[in-house]
Amino acid sequence: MTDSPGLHRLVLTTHITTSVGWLGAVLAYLALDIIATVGQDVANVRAAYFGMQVLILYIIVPLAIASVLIGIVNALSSPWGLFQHYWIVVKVLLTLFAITILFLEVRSVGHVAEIAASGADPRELPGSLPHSIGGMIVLFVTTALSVYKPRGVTRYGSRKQQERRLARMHSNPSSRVP
Amino acid sequence: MSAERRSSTAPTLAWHANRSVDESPPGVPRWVKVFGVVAVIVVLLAIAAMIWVGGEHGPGRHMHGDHTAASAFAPFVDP
Repeated sequence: MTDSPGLHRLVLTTHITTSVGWLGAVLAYLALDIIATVGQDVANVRAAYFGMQVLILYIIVPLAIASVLIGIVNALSSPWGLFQHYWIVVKVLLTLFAITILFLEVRSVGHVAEIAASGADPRELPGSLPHSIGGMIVLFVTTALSVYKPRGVTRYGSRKQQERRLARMHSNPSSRVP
Repeated sequence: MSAERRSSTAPTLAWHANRSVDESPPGVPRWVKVFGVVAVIVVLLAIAAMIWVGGEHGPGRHMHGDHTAASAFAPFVDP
């Protein structure tokens, strides 16, 4: 846990920026995916696959990795912790699921873009709309969880809270309930 | 670092700290249960859809011949 509120705010700001940036990049990817899946113009569909490959490799993957790593640092450096509240646990699980699908998708998109660039008719290639839409929904849910922070403390979180209460009572005996 | 020290320097963190102290006792909240049920239904529907549509799913469906996974990570390098 960091002792510097300034540093913690910097970590929090970076976490929000990378997480929301990840969602924004997925929305841009979804737009290209729609063109790749339903487009009829060969040049546009080929360009869409190329754009999807660039976006996923150089924007989405780096943002996703940064978001996860900085998110873990942010949680551990705040009073919320990483496993003390259900909303954070759910968010971590959803993010890990999303990043697993993302890494599988990187390989698929790389191969499809390669085939599209090779001269074959790209309109016959499968898009990745279910993954794009699913990813967008998962990231929207994680964003909503971060904003609403629904109540619920895990057993571990409850134990940590009791420890903190006891520590406060020992450091400030006047705060004890009569 | 104590909660008191946080609250004197960062109102947002103070709100976080105060709220975490006031949390309800342990026990899985209803929203987590609902969330879990919805997640299971979505996963089952996705599996059903894959079975219904048939065919290969995942990266393997695009991999034929001598394409390798490594090439996906180096798309702009000349062969």
